Amino acid sequence: MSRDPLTELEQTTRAMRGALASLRAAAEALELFPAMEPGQRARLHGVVNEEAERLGGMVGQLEELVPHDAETTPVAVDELLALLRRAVVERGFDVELEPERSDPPGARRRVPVDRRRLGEAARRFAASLRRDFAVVRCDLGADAVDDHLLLDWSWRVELADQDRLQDWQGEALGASLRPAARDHDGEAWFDLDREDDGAAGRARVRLLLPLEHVRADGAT
Amino acid sequence: MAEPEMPKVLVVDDEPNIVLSLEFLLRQEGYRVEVARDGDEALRRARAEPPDLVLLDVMLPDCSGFDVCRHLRDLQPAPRVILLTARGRSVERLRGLELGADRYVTKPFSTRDLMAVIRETLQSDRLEQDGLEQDGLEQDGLEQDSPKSDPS
Repeated sequence: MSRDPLTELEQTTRAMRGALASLRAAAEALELFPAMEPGQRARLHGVVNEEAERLGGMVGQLEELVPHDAETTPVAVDELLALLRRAVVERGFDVELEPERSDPPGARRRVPVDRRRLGEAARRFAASLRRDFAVVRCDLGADAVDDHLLLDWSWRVELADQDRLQDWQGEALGASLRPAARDHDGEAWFDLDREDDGAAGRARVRLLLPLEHVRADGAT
Repeated sequence: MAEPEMPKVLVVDDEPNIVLSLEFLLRQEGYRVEVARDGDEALRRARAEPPDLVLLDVMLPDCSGFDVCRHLRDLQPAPRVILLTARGRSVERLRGLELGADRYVTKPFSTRDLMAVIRETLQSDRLEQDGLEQDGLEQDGLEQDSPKSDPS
């Protein structure tokens, strides 16, 4: 996807017009023919829901195009996990905080982040993942590794989807979490454990973000 | 005496959601409907059994709707063409009309208005066949245009 803001704005507004047309046509069909057969009604309701969700994602893309001053503030690790969890839940996910890792050794340390930038990137990735792979459940966890925080966002992936996911992730991450991580002097990457239970594997996006520097006397 | 056969409309769009609704609404209006997902399929269907009218999206996965419009205009008989587009720029509209489209409708449109434009376009076709002149039709509330109302 292009990162040129004007090109991206044009692409997004065009996609929004298409989504609005689909949503409006489905809503008008439902209104005009209230006695239509149940199967058709269900399909049109499905269109309304799907397009409303698509539009929500596109609004997020537009928000990201609006120039804003980066506001980087240090947040505690558990607060950062909660922020990411909220962003992903907003896109319709059921999120588990991994119990053994949601209170890692780094929990009392802090990570300097631009909340808006990171939250928007997470929403964007979540919307793509749900739209393209119908994923709705995921786990979030974190570990402190030396002077960095390693955040893991993982989900179960069926065997049949694994190759497609590998092809897809580069562009999806490149349009969301990877540039956001780099803006924080961090990195984001994808890996896939194909040997979960034979029929499915575990996909994982990893975000490595620098922890706030702590001096020997405890001051930051 | 047998009822005259209802006109056939070919819907060309790669967005399944808009196709689902348009196909349903057109069938409710009594039209015969065919669907094509890209330009190549649209031209194959149009050549095999020419439609009376084509609802043609400008952005197709394999080519531009403008190219498809040009090829449709070479068919005998040439179908009426209504271009559907997510771009609202005047230059795009003019290009579509210069290539022979009858109407240019910008998304998101009201389906009630679109159905009215379809009826009017097909009606003007019948009037022309009867040797009558028909001025460009205008529809309030719908951003669309026809060659005869175009200032160029």
